[in-house]
Amino acid sequence: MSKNITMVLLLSIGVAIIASFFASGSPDGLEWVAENLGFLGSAGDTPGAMPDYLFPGVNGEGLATAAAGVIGVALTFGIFLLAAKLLKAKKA
Amino acid sequence: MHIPNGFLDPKVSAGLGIASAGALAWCFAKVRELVTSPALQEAFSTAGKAASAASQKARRVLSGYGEKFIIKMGAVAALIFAAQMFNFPVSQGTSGHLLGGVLAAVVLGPWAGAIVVSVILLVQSVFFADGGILVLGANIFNMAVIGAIGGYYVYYGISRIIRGSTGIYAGAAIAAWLSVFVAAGATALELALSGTFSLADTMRSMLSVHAVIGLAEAAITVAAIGLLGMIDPKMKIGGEGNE
Repeated sequence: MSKNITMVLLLSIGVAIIASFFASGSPDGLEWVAENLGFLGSAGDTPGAMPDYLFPGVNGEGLATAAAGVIGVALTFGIFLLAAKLLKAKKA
Repeated sequence: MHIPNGFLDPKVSAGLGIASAGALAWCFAKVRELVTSPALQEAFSTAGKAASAASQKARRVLSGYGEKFIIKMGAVAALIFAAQMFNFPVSQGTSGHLLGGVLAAVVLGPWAGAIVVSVILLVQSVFFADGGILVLGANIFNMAVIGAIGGYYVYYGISRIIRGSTGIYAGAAIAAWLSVFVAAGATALELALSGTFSLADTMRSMLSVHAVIGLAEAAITVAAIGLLGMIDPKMKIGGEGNE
């Protein structure tokens, strides 16, 4: 993998970790509107492996979010890396 | 502005799902053209010209450039995913985060940019319960179709009028702000169509909050394009996937 890609990935991991400790806990724009207008309650439960970006079993919210964030970075990049490898394998 | 399950009427989310699926099919076709080239044996085939042209159309293989481009899409996706985790405070006790549609489209072109944002939304929905899986089509429509494809053409128009890097940054900033503002308006419209709340109130609230959030979108987009341009000078020119 090229040096540039490695640098962008390291930057992504750094941003995810730093964001985990400094992110605002306030509701986002849509949630805030929903809360104000009184329809936030109609939000259904969404199942997910790591709801609210918390890696299960990690003590401390910042660390749990950082772990979830690093996994998310790996997952998003991994999907494209896998696609590239599969498409390349088709060539042979 | 990831819509959770339960906010939209099934008919509204199904309609937006179909629209997004159609848009993504187009994006995949355009990116396939970009990352593949005709298979070698066909290109040098001695068979009749028509027959070889027909088989060339059918058989395309990933090019070396294509492999690098897909991996670059992955790196941009990873960076936008990470940046989206940074919820910055906005006045009135609310927060915002990057949507990244314009950033992805400026660096990768509109079609690859829309795919990148869609994959991020898929990962967020499936693994992190951020954005409902039942309304994924609506979220893709608002943030990838409006954000990346719509945003790209605003950026493109401005960068044609104002030449050079000033045009790139001014275009990206204005497109980034607009992409958030228009996506917020679309979300309000979808909520009202679903009968969740009245259009006037939802629209007013969504637009006023996101007019502010859009400023941060513009700032982060410009900073990220500058940063990616420093890492790889070819990156910020972007236009690779835009034809």
